[in-house]
Amino acid sequence: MARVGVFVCHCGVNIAAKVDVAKVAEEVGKLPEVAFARDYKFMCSSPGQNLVKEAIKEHGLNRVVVAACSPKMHLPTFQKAIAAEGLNPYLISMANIREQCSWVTEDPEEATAKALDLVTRQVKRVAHQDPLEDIDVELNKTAIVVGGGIAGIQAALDIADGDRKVVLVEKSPSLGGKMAQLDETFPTLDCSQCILTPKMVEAAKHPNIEIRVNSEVATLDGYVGNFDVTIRRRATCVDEERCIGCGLCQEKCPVKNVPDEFNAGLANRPAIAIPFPQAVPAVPVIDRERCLKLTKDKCGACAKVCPADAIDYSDEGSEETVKAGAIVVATGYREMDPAVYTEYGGGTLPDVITGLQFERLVSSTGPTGGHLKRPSDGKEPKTVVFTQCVGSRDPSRGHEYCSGICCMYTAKHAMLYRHHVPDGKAYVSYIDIRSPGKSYEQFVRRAIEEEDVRYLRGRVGRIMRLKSGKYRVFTEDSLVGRPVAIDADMVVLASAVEPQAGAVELAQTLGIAYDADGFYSEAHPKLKPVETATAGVFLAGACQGPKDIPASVQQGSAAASKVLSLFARDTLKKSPQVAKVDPTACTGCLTCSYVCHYSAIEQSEFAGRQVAEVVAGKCQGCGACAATCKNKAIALAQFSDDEVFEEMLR
Amino acid sequence: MTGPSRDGETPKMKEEPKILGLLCRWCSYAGADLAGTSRFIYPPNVRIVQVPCSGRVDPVMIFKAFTEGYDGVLVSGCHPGDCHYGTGNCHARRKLAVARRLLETVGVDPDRMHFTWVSAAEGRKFAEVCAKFTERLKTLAGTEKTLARTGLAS
Amino acid sequence: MTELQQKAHELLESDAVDVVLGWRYEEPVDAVRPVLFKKGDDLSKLVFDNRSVHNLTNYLPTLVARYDKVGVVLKGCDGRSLVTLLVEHRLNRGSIVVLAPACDGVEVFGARAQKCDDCPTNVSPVADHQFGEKKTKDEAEYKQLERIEKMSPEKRWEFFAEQFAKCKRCYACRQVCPMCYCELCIADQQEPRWIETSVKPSANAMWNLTRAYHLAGRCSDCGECARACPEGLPLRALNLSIEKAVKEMFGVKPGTKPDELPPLVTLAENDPDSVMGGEL
Repeated sequence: MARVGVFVCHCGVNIAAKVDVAKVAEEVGKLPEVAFARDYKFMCSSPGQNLVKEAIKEHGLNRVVVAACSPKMHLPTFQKAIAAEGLNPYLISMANIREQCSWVTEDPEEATAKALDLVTRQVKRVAHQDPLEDIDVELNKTAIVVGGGIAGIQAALDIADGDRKVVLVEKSPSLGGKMAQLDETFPTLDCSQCILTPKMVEAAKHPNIEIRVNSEVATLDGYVGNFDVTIRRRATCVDEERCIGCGLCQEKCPVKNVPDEFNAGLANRPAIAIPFPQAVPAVPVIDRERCLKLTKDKCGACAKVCPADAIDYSDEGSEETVKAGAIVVATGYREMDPAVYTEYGGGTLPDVITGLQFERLVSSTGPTGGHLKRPSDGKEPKTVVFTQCVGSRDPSRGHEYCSGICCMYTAKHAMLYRHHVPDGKAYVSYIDIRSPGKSYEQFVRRAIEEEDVRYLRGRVGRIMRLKSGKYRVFTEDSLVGRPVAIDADMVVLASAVEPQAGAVELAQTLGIAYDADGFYSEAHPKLKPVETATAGVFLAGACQGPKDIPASVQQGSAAASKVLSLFARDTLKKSPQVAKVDPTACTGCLTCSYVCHYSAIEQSEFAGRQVAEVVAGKCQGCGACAATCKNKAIALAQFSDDEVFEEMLR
Repeated sequence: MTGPSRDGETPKMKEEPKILGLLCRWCSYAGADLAGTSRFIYPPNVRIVQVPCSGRVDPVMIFKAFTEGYDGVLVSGCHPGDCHYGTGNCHARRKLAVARRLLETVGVDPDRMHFTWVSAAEGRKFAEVCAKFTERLKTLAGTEKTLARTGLAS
Repeated sequence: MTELQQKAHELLESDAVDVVLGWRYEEPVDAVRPVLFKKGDDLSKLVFDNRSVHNLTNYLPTLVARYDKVGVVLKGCDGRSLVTLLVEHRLNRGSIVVLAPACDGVEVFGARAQKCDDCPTNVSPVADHQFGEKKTKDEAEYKQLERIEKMSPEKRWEFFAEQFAKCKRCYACRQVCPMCYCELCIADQQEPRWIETSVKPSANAMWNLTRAYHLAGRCSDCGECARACPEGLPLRALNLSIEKAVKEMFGVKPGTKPDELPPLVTLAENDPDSVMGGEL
């Protein structure tokens, strides 16, 4: 038998100015379920909360309704108050007679009538509410970070420093990601490798971090706190434990003409190679498609010269399963191939290069030792045109979005070029300049005002190779309204940021959502930038959307903080607002399982027949399943059909 | 508002039309709260019932609302793509589109059921929706054979 | 024996099936009725003609629980019911052997059933053995709906108000429908009581609207509900109006693809907002 206590708040004059709160309390007191009803000036205050507690004691209340502001304001306040008095915190409901009544209704009589109606509904509803307990979910405190670029490294370090174990999985042979390929970074012109390699080393040496390079996540099962992750290591044919990083193998390898990924195709590497000198770990990998031993059973030079006997041609790769409580996805981006822009040469013009390729040319560890040389003839370019927005902001052949980093790195490239070739002419063809970060605007202004980089507002229409070996760049200076043609020695295309190859497949493996562009979807665009809709899987860095290094580092730390707070206790406390199947009523049609966004409903068995079962750990409490079930065999706690019925139909 | 109440003791309300509002907790309910915080005035005819997601709304609830004397039902959820629970609002859209067609078949004006997207930032929109929907239902007030409502209530 | 009878006989004799569910003529009542044929029975008594009105998928869940392998004769409409039952995991495909004769239409109360005029496929879409030629009609005509669609909303309401008033809540429609298999039907649930048990227009409307809605994307238009209704309620019209809506709005026709998910749970993200009606 419900004994409901009703407390009608004045909220000073916020409610009382329009709603006759005393009358509402009086009328509601007449309902058969109501054992006690009164009004009071400020229910959320200490004395207000005490009123509730005392009334529970004195009148043996087993349900409470507080008619006041929105439950989004103070429901937790009153839940704590009644829990302190021994009443289950889920046996309370609030009638919103402020935001949704007194503040929006003109006429006091109408406001009072509406308030009374709203309170009555909550009385009927609360009488059908059941006591509930928060759910304890067991928790494994290991995190998997997928992706060893700066975002992943930051996340791994922060989690590891928080005294939790991390397995850092990286697809390529070394940590570092795109940042390892950069020369100097904006806006400080810091040497990228110099600030990155200490972090790479720290991650490799951290007692709480295990590195898995040449590896990918193959399968992900389970749910938050209890994931089962299969990590597959590619066959590298080099034993990481034995290799001493001497590099003799790559010296002696006779295959010298494999396009070097690290140098963005501007140079070649051998079939066995350490990706770059500062690689962590500095262990080479055999390219299975180019190695003579593996493809033709010839050569074998590397094995012969290796002083550590680390070469193993029979390596087939391996798989391991790791149990984890959280996953951080930090798989980064790839640079768009601008070949679709045939008017820019479609990838056939040797001195029309991309932003990353320019980084490699200008890097001292790059294919030209940091000397600016044209790929075609090795001559120093005296005129360079930098073209922004290639593939970005272009719905017709590229991407709709802005890639966010190109305005800044183009200014940087132009300045670096001018530092390397002081008598060179640098032109930047732009549509807009986006420089929102700290010191970013000043950085661009420096390029324009101090470093003599000539900015022309206009899109490049065509790049034509001339017989002289120069390139005629047709663009315009729209600010003066004139077409411009520049005969350049080199053109750098700021090619768009795209999701990594295989991003969609990985998202499907991990059970996370991605948007129309292939970037991974955050749980809420404003308030949850590093969480996904899948509990326990977090995002960091450019895989979530184009971003620069500071933002990637921020997200790495943010994701780590989410993981650490998840791991802060020994069990996860989850809201009891989850769905539950009554297996005696369930027909096993599994229609509910198809509407579940969280894949939280599984096929199970009961009394020898198929039924549905909710994995409480995964359920987020939306109720789509409950709305779908025709005979209501599945119910959502706190929003059961009973509760909604009562509130709807007083 | 006049109308059948289920147990007789509860006082009757004066205003007509009587509107049931099923609002999703994360967007629309918050938007309705914002309408209040911003002091946007709207007619008192809507009775808001919070659901976690518009996907929680079963058309059976809507049929029941009509047979129990509601003149109109407003369902409001997050904009497509923004659903706190991913795709619940899209499932709601589909179910309610079918329900709407069924009501139309039996001669109940489908405009008595309004489905809208109101985000947590759209307080003004919510107030406008309530005002316009109330107006629309006033013009749809039926004749004696529809019992001044949908005709399903009797 | 006809080819159908011969095949049924073979299946039983070879123990490929334990029983064959079909029809037999019963002289005392001058009607055909569903019966189980077993090994050794005279299969020349297996009838399939325009008197074979019953949707035999109704019996399948019970039979499949009792026998390892069940043979069954299904018309086109019945076969569509079977597809939905398979999608909803009511039956294992491997437990049944479908004998699918080409159907020329059935008779109800002495006249050709209206549903047969609208028939999209005269052979079961799930078939192990087919007999006769398959005929497919691509465009659905929804003739049953024409009369109602031509009425104004007021007339439509008048019509349905009258019809709902006639409903006795006998639930024959539910009993005869293969899709109505819920353990505890929502109409029989008390907490909460979405559908009141009393026979009054509002509760009758609740029942009929709810059942029609629960059939969305599942109804095969076998017409049995309409045939079983003692009051002659226009149940096919209600169900067809939803089937038409589902086809128009979401491009799905129930009962055609056993490996496709039901329409009310799929492809929801790209629906246009226009399916929800207009602005205020």
